Amino acid sequence: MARFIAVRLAATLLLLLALSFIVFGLLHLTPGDPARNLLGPRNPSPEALAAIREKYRLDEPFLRQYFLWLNDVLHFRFGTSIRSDTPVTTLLADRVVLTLQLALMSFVLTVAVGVPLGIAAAWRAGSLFDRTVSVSSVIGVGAPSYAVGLVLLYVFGVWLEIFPVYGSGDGGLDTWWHLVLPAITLAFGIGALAFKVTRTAVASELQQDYVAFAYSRGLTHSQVRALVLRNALIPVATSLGLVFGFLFGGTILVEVTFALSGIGGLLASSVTFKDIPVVQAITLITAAVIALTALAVDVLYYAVDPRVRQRGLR
Amino acid sequence: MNALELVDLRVTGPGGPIVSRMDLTVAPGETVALVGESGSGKSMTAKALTGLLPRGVTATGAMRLGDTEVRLDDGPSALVGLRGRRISLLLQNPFTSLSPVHRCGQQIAAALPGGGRGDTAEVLRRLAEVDLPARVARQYPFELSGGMRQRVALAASLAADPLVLIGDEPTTALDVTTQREVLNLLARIQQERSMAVLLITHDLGVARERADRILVMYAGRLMESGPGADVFSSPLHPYTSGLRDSEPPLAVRLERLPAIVGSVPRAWEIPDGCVFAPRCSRADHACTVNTPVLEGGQRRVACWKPLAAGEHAQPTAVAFTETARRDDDLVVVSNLTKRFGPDSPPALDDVHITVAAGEAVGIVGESGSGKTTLARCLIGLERADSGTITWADGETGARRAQIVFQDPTSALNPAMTIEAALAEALRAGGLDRSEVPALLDLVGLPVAYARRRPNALSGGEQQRVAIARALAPRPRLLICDEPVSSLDVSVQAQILNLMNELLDELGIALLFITHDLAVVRQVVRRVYVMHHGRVVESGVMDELISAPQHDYTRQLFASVPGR
Repeated sequence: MARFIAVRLAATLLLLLALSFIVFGLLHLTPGDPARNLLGPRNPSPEALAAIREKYRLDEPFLRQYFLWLNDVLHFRFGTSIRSDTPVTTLLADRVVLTLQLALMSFVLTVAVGVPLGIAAAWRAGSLFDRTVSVSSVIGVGAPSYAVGLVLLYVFGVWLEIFPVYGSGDGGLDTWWHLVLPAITLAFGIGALAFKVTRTAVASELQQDYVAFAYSRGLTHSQVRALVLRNALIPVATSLGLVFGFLFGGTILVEVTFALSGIGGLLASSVTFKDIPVVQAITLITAAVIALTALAVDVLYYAVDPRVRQRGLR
Repeated sequence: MNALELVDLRVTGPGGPIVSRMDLTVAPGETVALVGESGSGKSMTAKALTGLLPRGVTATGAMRLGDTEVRLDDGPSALVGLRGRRISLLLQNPFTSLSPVHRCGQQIAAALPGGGRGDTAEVLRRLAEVDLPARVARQYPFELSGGMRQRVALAASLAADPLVLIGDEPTTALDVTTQREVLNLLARIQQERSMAVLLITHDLGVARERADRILVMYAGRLMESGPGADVFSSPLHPYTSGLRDSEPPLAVRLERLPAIVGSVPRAWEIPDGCVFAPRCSRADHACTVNTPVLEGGQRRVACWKPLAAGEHAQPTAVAFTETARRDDDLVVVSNLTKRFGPDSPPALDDVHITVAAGEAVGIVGESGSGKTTLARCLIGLERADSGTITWADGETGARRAQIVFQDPTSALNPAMTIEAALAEALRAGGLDRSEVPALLDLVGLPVAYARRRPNALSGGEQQRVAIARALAPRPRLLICDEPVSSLDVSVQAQILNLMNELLDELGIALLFITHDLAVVRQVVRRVYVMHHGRVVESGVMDELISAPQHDYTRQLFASVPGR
C-alpha cells in the first residue's frame, strides 16, 4: 500500500513538474517581447523595461530563469499581477478558497442527489420512476449551466427572494449561503452525470450471476443490496472522484453568472488582459488540484477493490 | 415423501412457451439429471423452481418442497423464505457466481440461519465440509482456483441446509480432473445430508455416471425419462438416441459421426405436433399434427413412433483408416518459452511440436496448460520470450495460418454481414469477393446467408462462418482453439464431420486445440498432451489411449465422465 502510494505520488509530482515547465514557457510563447508583455499595454520607458528585465531575470539563460521561477512557485510566490500590480498570491488567496468552497458544495450536492437516485432507478429499471429520472437526467446533462443559473436566479433570487442574487457574501456562513444557487447550478449537469454513472453501474451489477446466486440461497433484499452496492462502489467512486477535479476547473461560467469572485472569473479576465503571472498561477493551481484528485481516486480504487490490491494497478 | 414434487410446470416468455407441461419428482438422497441442449428450457426450469425468472418470463404450476406447498402462479414472492432453506441453486460459473469483492467466509455466512461474521466456527465447519482449509474464509474468490471457488459456492448454497439442491451445469466450467473431484464431493455431501439433487447438464457422460434417473428435455418438453442406467443404453425416443450417437466415442475414430440434422428451434420457431419432428428421421405426417405426451411406467417416452427397447443398435462404427504421417514439415516449433510476468509460472516451457504439411495434429490440455498461448504464438498474436517457430515454405501473413476461436458469437463482428466478413478475409489473402458463394458452399451453408448478419444464425451456423472466414485466404495451417466447446452435442457432431470433410478436400494442415479427448480423437491422428506449459507426452492417438505413459495423461483419461 505504502509503496503503491509512493509510486503514484512520484508520478504525480513528475506530471506537475512537466506541467510547470509548459506553464512557465507560456510567457515566452506569447508573441512579442516578454518584458513588454509583462508591463502590459502601457508605453514603457527604457528604465521600466530594464527594471522588469531585472525583476523577472529575463536576461538569464532560459533554464536558469525556469528554475529560479520554480523555486519561487514552490514558496507560493507567483510574481506580481500586471493588471493590479499586487502580488498574485494576495490576489488569489481568497479566490481559491471561494472556488474550492463552490466546488465542494456542488460536489456534495451531486453525490447526495445523483447517487441515491441512480441506485433507486437501477433497482426499479424500466419503471415509471426510472424512466422519468432518466429522461430528466438527459436534460440535466444537456442544459448549459449559464442558462440553468439564470433560471435559478430568476426563480429563487428575484421572484421568491430566498437566495441572494449577487456576489460572494461577507464570509463565513453568509458566503456559504451565497454559494447555494451557484452550487446547485454546477451540480445540475454533474449530478445528472453522477446519476447516469451510478444507474449504469448498479444495473450492470444486478445482472451478475452473483445476484441470482445470492437470492437462490435465501439472502434477503437488504443483504443482496449490500453485495451489489459494495461492487458498484468501485466504478462509481472512481468516476465521481474525477468529477471533483472537473468541478474545480469548470466554475468559470457559474462564477460569471453569479458575479462570484473565484478563480474562474479571474482567469477569464486575466487571459483577456494577458496578465501572464496570474494565468500561470491559476493554471498551476488548477492542475495541481486535478492531479491530486486523480491521485486520491487511484488510492481509493486501490482501497476498495481487493483484486487491484493484489495485482497492482494497471 | 418426496423432497421435490412438481406438477404441470409451464414457463412462458415474451416469444412463446419455454417449458410446457413438465412433471418432476426427486426423492431425498436421489439424483435426477435433466439433460438437454441449449434452448431446451432446462435452465429456465431451474430458475422457475427458485423464483428467479427474468423479467417478462412467468411460470405456472404447483410445487411441493417437503411438506410445503408452493403455487408458482403467485410469482417470485411464492419462493421468498423457502429459497436457501428448502431449495437452493448452484450455478455454472464459479468465476461469476461469487461477489468478487467480498471474502469467501462472509459469502458463506450471509446465508447461514443466524447470519453472522465470516470467520465463525460454523463457517469453518462449512468449509471443512467441502474439503477447504480454514484460510479460505479470509480469502477473496479471485485468489482461488476454479475448483476451489465452486467448492465455496457449494458451501454457500448449502448454508441454509436445503432439502433440494439444483445444480445448473455445476461442473461445466471446470477442467475434467477438477470436475470429477467436485462431483465426488457433491455425491458425498448429498449422501451425508440425504439431500435431493436435480442435476442440470448437457453432458450425457455426467448424467449417465451420476444420476439415478434421467429426464431428457428438448425445446421445452420432456422427451423421455427413465433409470439412469437405461436411458442412454437403450433409448426409446429418436432424439435421445440421436443425442447419444452424436457424442464422439473415445475408443474409436469414426469415419463419420451420426449427427442429428438441423438445430434446436428457438422459442418462436417451435412447431406444432411433436417438437422434434422436423429433425426426426422416423417422423411422418401424424407427428407434425398431434403433440405426444409423456407416457409409460418406469420408462416413459413422448413419441408417436418410439424405438422398441433394444431396437436401437450401436451406431455403425466405421473405423477410420489412418494414413501415415508425411515427412515434409510445415512448421517446427522448438524450445518455445513464454512468461506473462516475472513472478508467474511459464505459460510455455520449452515446447517442441511439429506439424507436417496436410497433417491434422491435436493439442490436448486443461485450462492453464499453455495450449492457447501456443496457438497465439503460432498465429502471431503473442511473441514468445525465446525459442523458434520455423515455417517450411515462403508463405507469410494471412496465407500461412488462420485461427478459429471457441465462441463464434464473439468472434464475428455483429455489424458485418457474412458476405462482408468473408470478403474482408478473402482480401487478406489477395483474393476476390466473388469467391464468397463458393466459401459458403464449402462449409455447407446456403449461399443466401451471405446477406445475413451473425445474430440471424444459430451457434453452429456461426461457427461454420468462422471456419469459412479462416479458410478464405487459403492458409496452409488451420488452427482451431476449442472450436466445438460452446456448441450443442448434436451440432458438435456436424462441425466435426465438416472439419474432416474439409481436411480431405483441401489437404491443409490442422492444429486442433481442445480439452476434450473424445472430440480430438475424431479429427486427428497424432496429439501432444500439455500440462503447466510443457508437452508431457505426444504420440499417435491409438497408442496414447491403449498405453498412456505420463501420469497426467492417465489422469486425464480416467477423468472423462461416463465411460
